[in-house]
Amino acid sequence: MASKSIINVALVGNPNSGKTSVFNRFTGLNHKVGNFPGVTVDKKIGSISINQHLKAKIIDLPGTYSLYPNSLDEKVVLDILMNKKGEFYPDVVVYVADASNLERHFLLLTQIMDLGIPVILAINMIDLALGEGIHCDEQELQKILDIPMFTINGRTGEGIEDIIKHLPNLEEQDHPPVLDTTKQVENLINELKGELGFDNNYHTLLVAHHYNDLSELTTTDRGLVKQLTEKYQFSSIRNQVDETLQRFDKINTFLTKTVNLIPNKKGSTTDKIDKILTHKIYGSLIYVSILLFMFQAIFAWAEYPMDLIDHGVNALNHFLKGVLPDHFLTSLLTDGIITGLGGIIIFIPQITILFGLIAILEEVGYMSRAVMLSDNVMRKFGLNGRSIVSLISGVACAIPAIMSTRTIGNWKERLITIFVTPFISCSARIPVFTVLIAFAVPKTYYLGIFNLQGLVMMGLYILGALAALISAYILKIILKSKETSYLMMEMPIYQVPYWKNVVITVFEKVKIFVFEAGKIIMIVSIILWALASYGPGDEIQLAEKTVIENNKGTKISEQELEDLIAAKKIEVSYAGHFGKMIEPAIKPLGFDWKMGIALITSFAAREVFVSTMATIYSVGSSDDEKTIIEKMRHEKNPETGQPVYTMAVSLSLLIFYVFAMQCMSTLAVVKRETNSWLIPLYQLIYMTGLAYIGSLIVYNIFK
Amino acid sequence: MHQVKTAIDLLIGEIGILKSFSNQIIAPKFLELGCLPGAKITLINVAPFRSTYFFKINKSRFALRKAEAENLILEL
Repeated sequence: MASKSIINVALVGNPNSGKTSVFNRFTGLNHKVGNFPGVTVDKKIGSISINQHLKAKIIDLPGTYSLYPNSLDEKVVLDILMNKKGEFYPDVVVYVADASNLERHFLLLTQIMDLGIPVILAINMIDLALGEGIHCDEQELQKILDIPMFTINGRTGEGIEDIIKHLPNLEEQDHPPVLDTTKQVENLINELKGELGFDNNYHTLLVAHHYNDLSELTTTDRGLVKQLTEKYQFSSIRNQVDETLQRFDKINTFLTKTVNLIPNKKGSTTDKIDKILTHKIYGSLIYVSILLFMFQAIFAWAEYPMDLIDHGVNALNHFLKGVLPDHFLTSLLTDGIITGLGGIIIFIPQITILFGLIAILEEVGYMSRAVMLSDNVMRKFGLNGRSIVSLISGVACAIPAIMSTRTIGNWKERLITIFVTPFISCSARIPVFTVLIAFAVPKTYYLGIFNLQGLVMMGLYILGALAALISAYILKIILKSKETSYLMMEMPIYQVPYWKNVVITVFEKVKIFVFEAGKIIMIVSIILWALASYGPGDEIQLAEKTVIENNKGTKISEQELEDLIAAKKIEVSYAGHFGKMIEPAIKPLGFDWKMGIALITSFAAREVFVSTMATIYSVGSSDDEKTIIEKMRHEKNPETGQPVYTMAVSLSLLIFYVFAMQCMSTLAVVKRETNSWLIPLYQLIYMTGLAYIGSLIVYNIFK
Repeated sequence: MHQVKTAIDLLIGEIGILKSFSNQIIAPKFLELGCLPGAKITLINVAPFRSTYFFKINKSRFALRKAEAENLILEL
């Protein structure tokens, strides 16, 4: 070990052991978030320098209770700790244990020790344990366990430095196993060891349990293990129960010697808070209030920074177009790249606010209670209590929302959550809703406070949420699954949020959005720019000439002329041709080819609808929504002479935007998370089909 | 009347002692959470429609569905 210049340090522990804080203490913002190869499980790795000769890669493994996994996350932990040849196989495990509950936290600890991996024990939150009257004789415990041991505090950073200092002096830990698990299955273990060349008994036993989930085994190996377990009639569950009970027996013999409980009279604060927050009436009311507050916050607080970004991007484009030569590169930079970038960063305020609030609720310990309170309703629709986190996140952006379904262990429930989350109205739909509602709905006030336009906006959100729930219900009936679904969730104690964790979580989510969604929005924006800037043959040049000819001698300003040219150009561009091509298909919904173009460009991100409309209606140079609305109001149908944007058309478009799957980035993320092309394809067909039918009905009712 | 008392028969605030599990498949999942025979189980609250139960089991707190909690057989 001394010869290595980079060592792998894996952080392992139960959920709620405070592992995340410890990881953040080790690496700060200096870490990378990604996926473990082949699976969609969050991988967080940070590199730190220990001294001139030694670097450590700190790997944060998902929280798990034992080496008997129940979910994808937990399988990754098992696989990494088992595969000695694997890229992430740790040279040492830093095991984080909650001082208040050592008994339970020691189960996984002793399992890892028995695998023969060197372990450093980090006993966390000792201050809280002391508050509960739990006193631990650390020296005695260290003597019994015979591994390096440190008391740490993930929230203050105390003890972390000691662990880092200890890393260069790692030694092989060569103690007898805590528990000899082989007695009852000696023949099986010996034969497996002989056949596969293993030397560690516990490792071999775990192979007999989990051979289907382990990447270290070849297909032939798996067949062999299967054969042998059948030959010796190995009962996995029976054996797991025995092992767990025996380990706890052993652990209790350690702990009775080292841990003293001096009960104090004051009851636990968490229990007192839980009496109210998980109460069936008060708890539910508080829960709904918190949700309402969150929605309110996203709208109210994000408005100002979003306006600022919008104006900033427009001003920058104006400025660049003014100083740079009139060249296609200028157009690519301003209308393609900068507009695309603007379309990405405009969402950052809402995403930051929503994920900030979610992270605070998570840190405080409330999120698990929200999951508990939602589980019943969610389950009726084939979802899981944990789905609520994704559905709420979907209000900001479906991409991080879909990625947060990873905590749902049951595949069917996870799939349904992924499938329906894009129905939740995301922030990209807001600008579209705002413009269209201005047409469809008069600005009437009821009772002096309820603005009818505001009520319709809320109705659209409810419609999206209903579509999500009803679709989930249909999927629940269609999809068959033998997998049992579990909630079984541990509730952490309530504590004051640790701000560093909140900041880091938000930073990670925004980064995910910018890189995952951003790169696709960027690419699609550039493609759309090309489609809107070029046309077949010389139609574009001809269009420009025609407009100039036609307006010779009229008194329109240069700006107006440019806008007219831009409008004519997009009409004859490839995008315009596409719009006209799909016009027959969307005519029954009341849409014309101009809206067709906007529907197509919306695939980059829905809010592109507004800017596309601006260009088509030759107010491209204006960044004011009112101008666009004014222009749209005066748009007449060339055949009938009636206004194009009637109430029926606007409502029809609104319904279309509520339901349709128009976001390439979401489809790409769904493809990756489900590892299938079919699911995003179904999603696209289903959602867009629903949008079409919905719009058709609404248009014909109001026509 | 059945003679078995399970965790869902507890009243809010009542404490029971875990005797055994009625389902062998779910048993190891409870065990690894430190929920062993002899554990002290307190019912803290019940979610609306009696679908989800909130227990304190020894020192930890858990949300369990009705179908899960039913497997926890208590001492009479």
